[in-house]
Amino acid sequence: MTPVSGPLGDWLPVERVSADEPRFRMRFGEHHIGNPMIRAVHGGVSAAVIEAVAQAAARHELGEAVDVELVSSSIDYLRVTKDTDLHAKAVTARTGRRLAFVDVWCWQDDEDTPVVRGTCTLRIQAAT
Amino acid sequence: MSGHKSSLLADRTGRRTGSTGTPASTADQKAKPRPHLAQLFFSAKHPLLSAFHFEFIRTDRDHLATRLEAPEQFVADETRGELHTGFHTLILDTVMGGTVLGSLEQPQPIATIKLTTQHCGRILVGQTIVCAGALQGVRNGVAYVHGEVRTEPGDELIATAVGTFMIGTRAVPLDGSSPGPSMGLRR
Repeated sequence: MTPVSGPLGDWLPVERVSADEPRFRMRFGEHHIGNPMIRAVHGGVSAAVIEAVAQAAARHELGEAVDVELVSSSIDYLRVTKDTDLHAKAVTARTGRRLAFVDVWCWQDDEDTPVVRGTCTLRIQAAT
Repeated sequence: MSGHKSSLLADRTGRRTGSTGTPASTADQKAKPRPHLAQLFFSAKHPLLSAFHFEFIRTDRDHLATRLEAPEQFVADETRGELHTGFHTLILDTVMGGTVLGSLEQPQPIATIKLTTQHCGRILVGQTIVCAGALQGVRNGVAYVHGEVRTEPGDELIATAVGTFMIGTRAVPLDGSSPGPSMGLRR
């Protein structure tokens, strides 16, 4: 399952890049630019990537028998996000019966130099 | 989620403003209105924001409210026609940042430091929504903003957010050139 499905998958092309680990990449597009003067990616785009990655990581871990829905997210913008691809990895802090808590780290050039990080709370329900 | 009416759209008398914004005095009506910086920044030339077709319904110094139609390209669940929650965060970051821009005496670059969003509901494609921001205060160059997204009609709460923004960032263009004092905004 791709992290972002439906028409949003064209606008926000996020793909899983590792079968073993919850690692993802968003391919940069011109429509992601938020500040044209410094060609920085819009903060809302990074936030959307983090929410999509957290949801995809939880879905992958829990399987298709359940549905996971975003409850909240908290995003920290550590550095300017440049006009290149954005990489992300998810770390599940806890998965309970009803809730999951997933942290997501994003970087561009160097994994040790994150540009955005986020914490997401997700509601787990039986798939409809 | 419903039941709690929006406070971000009401002016100081508690009235909700219409499509022309806050009622202006006779003197204000004679003077040429100063465009809100967000109206300049959310221009048709912006690579991302031009796709949203924001209609400005409140442009006070400390408040910004916009109306828009939920665009199809953010649909993540085609069966239900629901937009991804990332759309909530995207427009909240935009409008809350625009609220900060509108409060500035002079155009300055701003950057989001932190954005916390509660996703209370979901938006359906084509639905009309109102996204509003209210500046809560500024301290040491950091602006604190509340924001929310509601449906219209229905006034159903979709998302609430708290954002902090750095005013006057030191960010320079990635090619090393100067961003200039105008931030690319043309009056």
